[in-house]
Amino acid sequence: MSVDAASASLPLQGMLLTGERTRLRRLWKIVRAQPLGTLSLLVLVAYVVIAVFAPVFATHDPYSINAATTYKRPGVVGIMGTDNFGRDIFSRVIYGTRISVSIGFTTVLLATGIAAFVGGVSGFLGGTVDLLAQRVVDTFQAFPALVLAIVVVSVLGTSGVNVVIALTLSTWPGIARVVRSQVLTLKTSPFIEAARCTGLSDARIIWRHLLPNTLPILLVLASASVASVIIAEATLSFLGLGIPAPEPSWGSILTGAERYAQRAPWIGIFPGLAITIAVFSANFLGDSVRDLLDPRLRQ
Amino acid sequence: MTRYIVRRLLLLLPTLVLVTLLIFTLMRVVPGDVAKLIVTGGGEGKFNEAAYHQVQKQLHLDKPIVVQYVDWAGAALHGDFGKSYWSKTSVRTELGSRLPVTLEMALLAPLIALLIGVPLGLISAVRRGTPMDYGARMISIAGLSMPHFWLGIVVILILSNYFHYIVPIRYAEVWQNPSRNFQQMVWPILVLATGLMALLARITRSAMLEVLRSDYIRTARAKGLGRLMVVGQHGLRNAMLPIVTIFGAQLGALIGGAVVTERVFNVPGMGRYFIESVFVRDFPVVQAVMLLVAIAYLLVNLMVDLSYAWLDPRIRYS
Repeated sequence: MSVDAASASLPLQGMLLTGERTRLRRLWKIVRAQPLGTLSLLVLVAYVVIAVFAPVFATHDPYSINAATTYKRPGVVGIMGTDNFGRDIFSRVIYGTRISVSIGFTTVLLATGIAAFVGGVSGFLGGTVDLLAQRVVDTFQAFPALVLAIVVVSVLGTSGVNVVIALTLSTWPGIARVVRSQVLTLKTSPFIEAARCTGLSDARIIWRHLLPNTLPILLVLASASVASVIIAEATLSFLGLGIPAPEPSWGSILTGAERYAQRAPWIGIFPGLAITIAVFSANFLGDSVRDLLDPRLRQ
Repeated sequence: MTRYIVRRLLLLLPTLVLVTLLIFTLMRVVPGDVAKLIVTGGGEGKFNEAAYHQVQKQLHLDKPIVVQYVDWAGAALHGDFGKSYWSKTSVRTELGSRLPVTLEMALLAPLIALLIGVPLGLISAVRRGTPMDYGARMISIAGLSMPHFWLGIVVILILSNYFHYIVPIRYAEVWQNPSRNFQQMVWPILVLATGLMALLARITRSAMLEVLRSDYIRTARAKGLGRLMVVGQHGLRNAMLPIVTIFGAQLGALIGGAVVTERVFNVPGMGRYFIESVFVRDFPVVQAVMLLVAIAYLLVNLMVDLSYAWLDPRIRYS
C-alpha cells in the first residue's frame, strides 16, 4: 500500500517505467521458479498457433485419398507416413489440432462458467437452493464422465456442437463442487461481512467479491479440465462418436490402428503422441499454477 | 457414527430417483425414432405403417411417457431390465454373462494401481528433490497424460512388433482356462491400472509432503523414532484421507476407461456391450448399464465417505 502511495507522486512516465519493470521482473521470477510450467504454457500456445495456421504447417492435403500411397513408412511419404487410405498422417495430425484445441477451450470455458454460477450461488445462498443444486450435481456425478458423454453424443448425434454439449455436461459438476466448497469457506470471512454491512446486493457480493476470490482455484481446475477434455474428445472420436469423418481428429486417426499393428505401426504412434504431449502440458501447467498460488508449497 | 450413516443413506435416495429420471429423459430426447429404425431395418428398408404401430406397441412406446417411466423404474427395482430391442433376449441374462468379465478388470486394476502407486508416491515424497523423485513424478504425469485407448494400442504395437506376440482374441473364462484368461486379461488390466496408479502416486506424494511438514512429525522425529516408524505409522496414516478420496472418486473414471479398453482388446465385457448397444440405439441395454454403473458409483462414494468419517472423527460429528 505504502509503495503505491509513494509511486503515485512520481511523474507519470517514470511510474509507467517502474511499473513495467517490476512486472517484467515478477514475470521473470515466475519463469525461474516454474521452468517446466513455463515450457508447458509455451507448448500449449504452440498448439493454438498450429491449430490456427494449420494450412501453413500441413505438407499434404489431409483429405485426399490415394490408393498408390497406402501404408507408406514415415519418411517415404510425409514425416509421419500414410494411413490405410493413403492420406498423409502428419497433415491429418496438424488439422486434428484444430478440433482438440477448439473443443477443449470451448468446453472448459462453458463448463467453468456454469460451475462458477451454480457453485457460487448454491454455496452463497445455502438452504434449499443449495440442497437442490447439490442433488443435481450428485446426479451428474453419479455417472463416469465418459459414460455420460458417450450416451449424450449418441442421443444427440455426432457433431462438433454435440460433443461440446456432452463434454460440458460431464465436466461442470466436478468444478461446481470445488467452487461451492471454496465459497462456503469464503462466505464467513470478515470482508464478505463488511460488504454485506455496506448494503450490497447478493448478486453483487457473489459477482464482485466471492467469485474473484475463487479465481485461483478455478484457474487450476480449468487447466486440469483442458487435459481431461482433450482425452475425452479423443476417446469419443476413437470410438466413432466424435466429429464425423472425414474430418481428422487425433482420436479418429487412431480408430482401428490396432488392426494395422504390424503393417503400419506408425498410424498408432504419432496422433497419440500429439494427445499425450498436449495433455502432459495442460497437467503440468495446472500443477505449476497451483504451486505458485499455494504459499505453503513454496520453498 | 450410526447417525452419520443413516443421514448419508437418506441423501442417497433422492439422488437415485434423479439418476433414473436423468437416464430416462436422456433416452427419450433421441431424435431418431427406434420403432421406425427397426421397421425399416436400420433406415434402409421400406417403411410399413402397420408394422410400425405393431413395433411401437410391442416396445410399449405408444403409452404416455410417465407410464413408460414408472413401468421401467418399477421393473428395474426388481432387477428386470426388459428385453433388448434387437436380439429380443433378456437384458438381465445378457448382462449376467458379461458382468464377471468387467468385474475381473474393475477389481484387479485398482488393486495393482494401489500396490504400485502409493509406494511410488511415498518414495517420491521422502526423497523429495532427488533424481528418484523427478523420475517418479515424470512417470506419474506421463501415465496420467496417456488416454487408456492409446496406451492399449501402444501395448499391442509393442507386443506384436518387438515380441511377435498377438494377444489371444477368443475369450476364455477364469475357471475354464485360467492361463488363457490370464494371457488375455493381463494387458487390459495393466492398461487400465496405469492412469489410476499415476494419480495415486501424485496424490500420495503431495499428501505425504504436507504431513511430513507438520509439527507432530517433528515431535516423532525428535523423540528418536525410527524413520520407518515416522513415515509409516505417523505419516502415511494421516496422508490416507486424500488418497482414499481420490481413489474412490477415480473408480468412476476407471469404469469409463474399462469401456474403451474392452473395445481395444476385444474383451467381451459390459463396456463393449454398452458401446455396441449405443450404436444401435438399444435403449433397454443402455439404460440398464447406466443404472448399474450409477448405483455402483454411488455405493463406492458412500463407502469412501464412511471410511473418511472413520479415519477422521471430526467429520462424523459435524
